[in-house]
Amino acid sequence: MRVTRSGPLRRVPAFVLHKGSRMKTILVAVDGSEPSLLGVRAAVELSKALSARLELVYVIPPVLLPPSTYAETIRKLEEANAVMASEALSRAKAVLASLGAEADVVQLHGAPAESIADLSQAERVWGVVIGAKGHNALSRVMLGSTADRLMHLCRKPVLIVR
Amino acid sequence: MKRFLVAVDGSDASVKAVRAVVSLAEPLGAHVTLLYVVPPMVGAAGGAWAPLDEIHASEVKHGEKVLAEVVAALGTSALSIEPRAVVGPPVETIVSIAADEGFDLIAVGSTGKGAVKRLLLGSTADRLVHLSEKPVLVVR
Repeated sequence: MRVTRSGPLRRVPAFVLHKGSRMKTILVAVDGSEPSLLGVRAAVELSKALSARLELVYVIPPVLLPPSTYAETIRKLEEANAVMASEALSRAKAVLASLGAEADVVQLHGAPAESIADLSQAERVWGVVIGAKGHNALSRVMLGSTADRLMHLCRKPVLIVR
Repeated sequence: MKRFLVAVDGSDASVKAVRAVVSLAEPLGAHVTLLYVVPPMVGAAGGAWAPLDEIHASEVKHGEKVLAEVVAALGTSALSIEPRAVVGPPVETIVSIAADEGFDLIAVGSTGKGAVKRLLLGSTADRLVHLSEKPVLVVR
C-alpha cells in the first residue's frame, strides 16, 4: 500500500489568519451531509451565546491506493476530492448566510478525526461541533466513526448534533 | 436553544460540563436542569443490609446534596437552575427525560466517577452519545 496525500503536505496555519484575536472560536466540522448542516445551525446559536467566531473545517482524507495505480487515476481522485470539498463548504456557507452568520474556512489534509482534534488544541478554540453521522456512515449506525473518534480524542468540548 | 439538561455525578468533568452549559445558558436566557441519576442496586434483594428503597432514598439524598453543592459553587443567581435526583439506569434515564421533556441539548462530562483513569471517555458519555436523539455536548 502506498499513501498518497492529496494536496499540499503542510496544514493551513489557520491561527495566522487571526493573530492577536482574543475572540473564542468554535470549529464546525463539515462534510456536506445533512447532520453536518444541522451542526452549522447549532454552532451559530452557540457562537451567539459565547460571542465566538466560527471556523468551518473540512478535512480531505488521504487517498489510499495500491502502488500500481496510474498517476492519472490518483489525480482524478484528488480532483474529485477538491470538488466535494468546495460543494460541502458552499452548502455550509449557504446555511450560514440564511442565518446571517459568517465563518472562516480551514481545509486540512489527513485523517478527519485526528486532524480536527489537533486543530482544536489551539488556544483560540472553545470547542467543536460535529454532525453525528457524516457521508460515510452506514444508515443503521447511530453515530458515525468520525464523530465517535473525535469525541474520544478531543480535549475540548465536543457537541454532537443529529 | 432554551432548555439544557446536564448529567451530574459530582466528578470534575461533570462540574466542567455544568460550567460550560451555564456559560451558554446565561446569554441565551435558557433554563438549566441538573440531573443526578442513581443507578438501581441489584443483587441486594435478599435484604442483607437495608431494603432497596432505603438505599435508593439515601443515594437520592446524597445526589441532592451533590447538586446543591454544585449549584452553590456556581454562585450565579440570574439563571434558572433546577436540580433533580432520580433512580434509574443512567444513560436510558437521561435520554428519556431529555426526549420526554423536550430538552434542546444534553451535556455530560467525558469521564465520570465510574470511569477507569486511563479511559478518555467514560461509558456513560459514550453510550449517551450513541443513544441520544438530542445534541450531546461532551466536556472534558
